[in-house]
Amino acid sequence: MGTRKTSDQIIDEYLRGGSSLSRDYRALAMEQPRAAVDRNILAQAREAVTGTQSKSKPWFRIAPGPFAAHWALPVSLATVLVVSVTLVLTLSDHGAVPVVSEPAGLETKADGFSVDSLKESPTEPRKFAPARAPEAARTPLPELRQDKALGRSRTESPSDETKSSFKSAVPEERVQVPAAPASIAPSVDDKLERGMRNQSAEKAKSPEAWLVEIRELRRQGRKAEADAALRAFKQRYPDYPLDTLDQAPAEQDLRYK
Amino acid sequence: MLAYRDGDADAFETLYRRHKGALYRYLLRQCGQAANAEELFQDVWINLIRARARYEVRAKFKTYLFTLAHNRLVDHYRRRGEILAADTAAVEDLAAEPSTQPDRQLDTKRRVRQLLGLIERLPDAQRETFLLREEAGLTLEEIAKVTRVGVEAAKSRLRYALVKLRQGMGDTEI
Repeated sequence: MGTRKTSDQIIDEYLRGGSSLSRDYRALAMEQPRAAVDRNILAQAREAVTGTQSKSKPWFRIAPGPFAAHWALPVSLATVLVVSVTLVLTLSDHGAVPVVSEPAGLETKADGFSVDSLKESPTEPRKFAPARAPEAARTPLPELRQDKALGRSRTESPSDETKSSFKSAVPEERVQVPAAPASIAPSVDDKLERGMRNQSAEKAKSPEAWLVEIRELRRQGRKAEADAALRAFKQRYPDYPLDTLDQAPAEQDLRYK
Repeated sequence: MLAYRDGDADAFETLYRRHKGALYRYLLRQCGQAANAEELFQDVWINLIRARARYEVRAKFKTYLFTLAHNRLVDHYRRRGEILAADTAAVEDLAAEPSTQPDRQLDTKRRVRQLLGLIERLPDAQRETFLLREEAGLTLEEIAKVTRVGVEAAKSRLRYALVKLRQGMGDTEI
């Protein structure tokens, strides 16, 4: 009982404060958390209230984990590789047609006129034919023709058989080329394609044959069409002599009058 | 804490400066190593920040804070399954007062180191009760609330702790 009473007295004395035990402990109680820990906690507290992203991230979250450190480089390389391959494939899909499969027959001077005159023609289409157009009806870009004229061949020339067959096929086929099949959805590209085919057919005509047609038109009294054809002829062959043509219409005109 | 809950970040800083030392030392004495103590210390404050919206005045803020610390410490014990040795390096860093004589400094150091060893050897519940009293300045009722025991149990723990510490320090007043 005496011991118990002494224990209660000890507690009472201790709880009142000022015991030697407390003094000794206070001498020990000096440790504080590091300043970095203080900054981290205060930054997070401020961030939680203001909602703004703190610039000083917690030190224990900055260090990447072993998974991230291990896989960061392989994943980055794989991503770069995939993107590069995709880009190359995409570019080759769009760019391969004019570069690789340029119709060889169109570089020839089938009608005996220079390539330069073709290049300067104002009616030359600026857009390359779509890939689904028939091979014989395609017309290459003027730039490509210029490249050929300057001797800058970017592709391997096709075989002679291919060239000759293409040459022989072009005039007939182009004059009578039907419109694009209805199964293919009509589009701006199709219209351009058809226009290019007609122009190609006109270009393929020899000047003599063209003049015969014009004469025939005049003979039939289709003057407007004959004049339009003549304008096109002059545009196409500006230096070609028209003596024979001029005589015939005069006779025709007199006859009609 | 209410001010902080309502968006006053400076109020948190005031709270933090006031209680950080006591909380840190409470955790340090309990888990034994500074690195673990820092981790637990941060966890307690982060939990407090996250729970600010649910904060209600039911007791003194100090009681609330040390309740969070007690819960975190219990988790820590459960995970580790052991209590680490005390970090006695802090004793060596004790600054002596300029006017103190060398033999007096040595005596103080010896007594502090001895007391630290005794605290370390106390049973967990008794050590925690003693630290809550010394560091947080909690009353027996508050200690009982934090540790989720009755007041008598808390008083008993404190009594046993004091007796052991006094005996260990050479006091024979019991």
